[in-house]
Amino acid sequence: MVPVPVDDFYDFAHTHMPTIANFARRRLYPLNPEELDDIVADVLIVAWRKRDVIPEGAEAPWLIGVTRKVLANARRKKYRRSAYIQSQRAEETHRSAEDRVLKDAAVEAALATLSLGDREILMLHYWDDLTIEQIGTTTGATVNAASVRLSRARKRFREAFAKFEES
Amino acid sequence: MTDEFDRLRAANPATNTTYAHGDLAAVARRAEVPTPNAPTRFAQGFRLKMASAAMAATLLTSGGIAALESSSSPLPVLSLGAASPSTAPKSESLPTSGGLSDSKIPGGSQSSMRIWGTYEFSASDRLSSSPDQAPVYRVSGSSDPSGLTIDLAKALGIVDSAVAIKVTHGDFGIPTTGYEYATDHGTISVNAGRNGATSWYFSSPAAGVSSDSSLNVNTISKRELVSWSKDLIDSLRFDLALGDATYSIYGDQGSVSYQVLVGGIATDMSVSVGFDKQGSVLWANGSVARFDRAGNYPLISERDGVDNLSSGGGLVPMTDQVAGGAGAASSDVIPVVGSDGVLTPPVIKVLITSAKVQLSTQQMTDGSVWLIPLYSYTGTATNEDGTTMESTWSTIAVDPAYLKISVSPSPIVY
Repeated sequence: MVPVPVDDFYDFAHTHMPTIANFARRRLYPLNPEELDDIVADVLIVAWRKRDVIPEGAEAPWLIGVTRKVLANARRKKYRRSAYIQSQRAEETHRSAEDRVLKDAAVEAALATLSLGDREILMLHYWDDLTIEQIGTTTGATVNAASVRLSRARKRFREAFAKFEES
Repeated sequence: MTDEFDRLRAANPATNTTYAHGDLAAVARRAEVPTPNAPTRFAQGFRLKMASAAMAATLLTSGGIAALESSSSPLPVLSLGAASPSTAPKSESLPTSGGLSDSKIPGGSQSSMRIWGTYEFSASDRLSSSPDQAPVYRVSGSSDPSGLTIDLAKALGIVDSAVAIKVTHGDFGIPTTGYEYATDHGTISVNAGRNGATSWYFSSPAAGVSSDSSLNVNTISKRELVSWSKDLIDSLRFDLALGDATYSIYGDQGSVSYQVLVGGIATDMSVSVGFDKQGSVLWANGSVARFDRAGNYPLISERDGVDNLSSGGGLVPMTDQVAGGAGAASSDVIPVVGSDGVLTPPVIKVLITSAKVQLSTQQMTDGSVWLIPLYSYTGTATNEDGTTMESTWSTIAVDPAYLKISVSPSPIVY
């Protein structure tokens, strides 16, 4: 076994944890908030083991891509489990972070009118600071497709925002 | 003047928040575990050990498998890449489960349902003491994963002519090829390895929307779920035999999970679908596979399998159907702290009352994936405080004469 240089791992973790946690926190449902640490840990370990192949300058979309898959795996496990656990019906549901935290009523109302696809791409751009190219990398779309989707989402957000701001 | 997009950016909940992992040292320790070299789908792999070198050369070919069908051909020895049922320690440390803890068994994940304790198993008179036989199958995936992706997109109604399939290779250290088809209406992921079933997963944009927590009653009926799931399964047109369905309804969302049958025997593979109250598919997942029968293996008797459980060769409970009221829940199994401050596991006595053969997906060290017979037991566990709990346990059912156990060198994370 090759020992991990622990200091390097901590540096690596502290550098990338905010990106992973900020993304995962907003998409945690139906997982419990307490599972965020598990998700972050899983992503960190994958990223650490593959750190030599992470494209330089594209760390954020790479990490977000891994986080999406780790979240999907975790959700899949939860869904399969839920099909067999009768008590699942009584489980508490958790609103997403933006639902709980947003203070700007017009922004919140406008976001709420959008599809999750539109919200996703807006958040990737405005909250995770991904460029269009990086969004394409993250979502598996071409740059052109990502650009078109972002443009459409912006248009719909702008219209909804104007309506709520006016009212 | 601040425009709407500045306001959106400013509304980021992560602004002025920090994140600190609860136990980064534990993550660092996990990172110390090297990535396994051998491709393993689950925590333990099967190794197919041949009775002779010459036989080894033929078994892993279709010709070799065909030879197994012949009554004159000896069956190969199957070698588990896990702790031996006969040598594995009992559950004397934090949750351990003997030889097969990470196998996929109908009923869901074991890892989240482990109960800390020392189990003492006994068999009721209803269990057979006569050995039987059960088939072993080799599993192969879809020959056209890309076509499967499109077929799924059509069946789920998310086809977008502007979207192409994105192909990725070898994520998470497992040699698979991923096919992702992402449109505004949902994303389909298909994972195809060199061996084993091709798994697929669909998630609609609405899959992340929480069920309405203000609802105190279910707004979906089981009859609706049956109808919706039947329509979807029909449209998927998979050439798979599906067994009993399990229905789950919570508020305004519901799900259905079908066991996949092979040769009429339940497997650990399933097809599952989640619906919203309008009957729209929120998520779905399943597997597509071809099963080639490799022959009938002698099994140990049901009663001998229970002995294997006692010696640590089984799986801990995977479902908890509480028989003794809420007090019998697994969380009430309390470890005892001795005078020296050391935690000792409670003794949990289990009476196994029924057994059935199921097929479990396992991967051999050459990468091939097989369905291997297990005994799935149902029994009643009695805690030290007298509370009881109905659960299921599993153990390999193949005759030990056809098994060889090797210890897995390290835990496998993915």
